[in-house]
Amino acid sequence: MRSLLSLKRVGWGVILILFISLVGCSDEGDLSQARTVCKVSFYHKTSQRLDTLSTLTVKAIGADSVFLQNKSASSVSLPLKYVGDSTQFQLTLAGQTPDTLTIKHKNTPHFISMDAGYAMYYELTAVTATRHSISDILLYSSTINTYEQENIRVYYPE
Amino acid sequence: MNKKIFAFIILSSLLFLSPLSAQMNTASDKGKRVVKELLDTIPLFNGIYIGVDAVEMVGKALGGNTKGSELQLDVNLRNRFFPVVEVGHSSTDSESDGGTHYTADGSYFRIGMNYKVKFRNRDESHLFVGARYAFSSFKYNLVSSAMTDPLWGGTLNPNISDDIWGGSVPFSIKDQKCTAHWAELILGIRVQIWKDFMMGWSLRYKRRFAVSGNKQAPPDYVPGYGSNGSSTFGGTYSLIYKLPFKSKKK
Repeated sequence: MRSLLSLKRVGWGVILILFISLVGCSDEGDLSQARTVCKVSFYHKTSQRLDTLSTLTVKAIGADSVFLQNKSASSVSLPLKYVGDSTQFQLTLAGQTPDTLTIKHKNTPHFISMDAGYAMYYELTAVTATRHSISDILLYSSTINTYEQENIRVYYPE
Repeated sequence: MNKKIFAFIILSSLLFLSPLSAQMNTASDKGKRVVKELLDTIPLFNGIYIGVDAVEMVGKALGGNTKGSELQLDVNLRNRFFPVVEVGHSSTDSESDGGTHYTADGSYFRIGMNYKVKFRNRDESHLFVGARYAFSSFKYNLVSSAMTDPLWGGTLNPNISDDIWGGSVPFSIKDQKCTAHWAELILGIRVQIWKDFMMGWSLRYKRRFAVSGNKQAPPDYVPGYGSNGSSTFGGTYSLIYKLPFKSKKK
């Protein structure tokens, strides 16, 4: 005990504990939980390749939100409703008749942590669209969670 | 001719190395004898220690969300190895700024070994390193409070409120049973205060193996482990008493 509690050893012990308490912490717990989204990508119908659409506008139907306004885009991330099993969007290419995209889904709220709060996960059950400008539509991946991935492919003519 | 030279080299090497080898063996044997003589003077059994962890008791008194109690029992073998068992009970009651109320209550168990650094020193005070396997079984509740509009009616859960499309979703998990397994690496110190009374501190790195529970709402706090992440740090502060068993001294 005579050497164990020397000032030097106690001092180094305190420094070690302070260092570890500063750098050591749980490696999970995102403090800011972003809203989960449905990723819609655009493809050429013939070549089946990713397409960049010019002057695309995407609006919510039933809400005032505009997600894309006359911009070029090869994909768009769209938030689905928390309440209800269907969400609709309007897709418009400049000078063309707007199309309505209807996504049917099952909603499951998830608790992340006391700091990060909650996230809504979805299981897409069906996707339909009008065919004014759109050639075809495909439900590519039905799962929506915190790891963003391509969910829907919308095909346009060349 | 080459074969003769090769044989000469081999034989002379063996003759040269054998004295060195003999000296090394002599030093190693001497070292082993010293350690053996030292260990022979230390009995196998050197006492039983019982302790209580005061961290959560102090934390609750200071206004923390968690309270609990832990009992520790370890045995001194050869003044070097300290097998240890720790049993505890812990509960927590916390509320987030958004109104999520989380409560958990359960027990935990740890088993492992501490190793005394500088075991040749007969003092009760010592530094040690250790490892544990731990298990916890508990229940938890998670309720997201809803607000009621007294003027227009309806309820709103601000924690899961849709700011784009409108509306909100209630969330409630009650009496969810859960288990967790993890391992701990420990660095600690035990200091003799007066006769058979000691204090101990330890710093612990915890690595979770598995946790069950509701998939929609994993537990936020695990008794004995802490905040539910894949790894975390923790510490203990213990009050320890050496039970009055007399060991036979050679």
